[in-house]
Amino acid sequence: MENTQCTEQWISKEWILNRYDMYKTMLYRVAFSYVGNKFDCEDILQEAFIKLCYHAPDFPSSEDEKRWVIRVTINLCKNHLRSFWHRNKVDLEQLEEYAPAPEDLELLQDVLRLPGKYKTVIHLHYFEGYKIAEISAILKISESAVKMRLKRGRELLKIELEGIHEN
Amino acid sequence: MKISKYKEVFTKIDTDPVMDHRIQNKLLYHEYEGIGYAQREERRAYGKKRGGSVIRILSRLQPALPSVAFLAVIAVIILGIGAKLKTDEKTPASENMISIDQGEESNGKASTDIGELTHEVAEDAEVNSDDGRTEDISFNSEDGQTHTVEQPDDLKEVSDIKHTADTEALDTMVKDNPEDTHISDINKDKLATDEAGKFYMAHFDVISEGGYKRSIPSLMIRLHGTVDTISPEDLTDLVLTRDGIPVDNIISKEYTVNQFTWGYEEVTDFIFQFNIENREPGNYGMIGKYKGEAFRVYNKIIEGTMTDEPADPNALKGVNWVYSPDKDGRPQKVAEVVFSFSGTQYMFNPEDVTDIKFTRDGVEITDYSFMEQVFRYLETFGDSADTSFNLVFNNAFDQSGTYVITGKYRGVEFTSWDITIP
Repeated sequence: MENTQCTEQWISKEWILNRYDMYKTMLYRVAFSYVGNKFDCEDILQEAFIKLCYHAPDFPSSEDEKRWVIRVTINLCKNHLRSFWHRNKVDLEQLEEYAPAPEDLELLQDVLRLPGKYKTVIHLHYFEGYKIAEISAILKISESAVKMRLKRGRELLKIELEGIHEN
Repeated sequence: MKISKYKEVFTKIDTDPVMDHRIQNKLLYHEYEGIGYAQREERRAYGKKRGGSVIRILSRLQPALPSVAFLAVIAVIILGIGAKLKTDEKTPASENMISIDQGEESNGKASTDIGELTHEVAEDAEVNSDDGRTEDISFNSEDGQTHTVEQPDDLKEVSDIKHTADTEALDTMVKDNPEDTHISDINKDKLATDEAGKFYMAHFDVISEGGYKRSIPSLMIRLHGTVDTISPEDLTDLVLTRDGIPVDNIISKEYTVNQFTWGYEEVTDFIFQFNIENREPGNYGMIGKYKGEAFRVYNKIIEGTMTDEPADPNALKGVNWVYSPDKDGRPQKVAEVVFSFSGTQYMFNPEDVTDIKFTRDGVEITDYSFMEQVFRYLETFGDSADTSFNLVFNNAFDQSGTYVITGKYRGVEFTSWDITIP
């Protein structure tokens, strides 16, 4: 293995691990807000990274890459929920692992109960800090649709804005 | 709810090291359509090329156009002659026929003659529609404008791809235009010839017994094209590993040959036996070179010898469900019961489950049964593994309510997670 050809190939390994470290937490949270199950999230995360590593085009910037992989993850979540046979690990214990306090658990359950289209924009906007225009680009929907989903999502979750303004 | 609370809760949600390890492991040893991560750059380059401009692609193909045109003319003439002969047999006295000799001698109107000739063949082609080649002619003569140099765009495009020897692009073309497959077939012969003898891939041959991967007896080297021999000396720097550790086991110099059509092209497998059959459980991999070109053999897991030992009841991690969801992801039908175990487990006998009580909203359900076959899933990561056995209901349950199953597995009590159908 100590030859130039092989050394060049191993660079890809570093690239993969680098990207994994860069995106894993963000994508895991996006997926978790959708499916609420760590086993399913793991499958989705794995699939998203496989797409990023083996199928993605070259991106003009790292931000484009990030948006692309977010969109892929969201699509995988949707496909997962649509699939006829998807495993259910109805597992409150898992939720409790992340949200031991009763009020936190309730919040998490509320988020998971929210229809997918609302929780995506809520999560991207309030947690990941994406602007409305950026969410519009990621989800390929109009800005007004993003605003509407934010509004309805907030209403459903009874979110208080605490001075945060949509930008 | 305050947004800060939302952030606080979601900040705690993250992957764990074990999950990271599993995913990274799968990413690095991922096998997708025979492509490992080592070929990632190549695949990405292909993706970029596919997205490139038509002009740039055509400019790269320009040198091949004269030979493409020449081949197309030859093909049209040969097929035209064949069809002409057929037509002559059917209607020997037809006044509309143009003899091949006339066509060849009349240089001044050669283009028109061939055009008419092709048109005649097109009519004939409809009679012989089972023949792929006659369909090809029919395609060319749809507008009656087939000439000696100009080709229909589709044909030109496929011919161009032939000279790039870009198999993936060819695949794409065939998939996009399934009715054009006959055109591509003509070009695949040329493609196969160009690639003949080149390294295609390497695989372990795995022997399975009853769903258990028992051993790796041989290494398979696949080359493009129909090849009769391979020189074992061309295989160098071979290192066999088990769980990442080199294994002292070499392949025999003797080999067997298997020539066949794989997908759309001719390939040849050369199968080399290992001196010692690899039976030791573990994750096997191999690297090496063929004629100086480095390759990686895709990893295979050997589970070890199959045993009749039932799953260890003390390793039972939990009992879950498989359900079919509605469009919102909510359970719609309860279809399977999943017994999850730590470690590698081999057998699960449903009769070992006793005192079973299956309830919906606390009311026992008695009219249920499972399929005879138990589905086993093994997942390994590093040194550890998980095994699950799925019992599938003969009739899934879709009545609303909360379902729970309790019982004992070989004396150890269990209670499933509850699942609610709204």
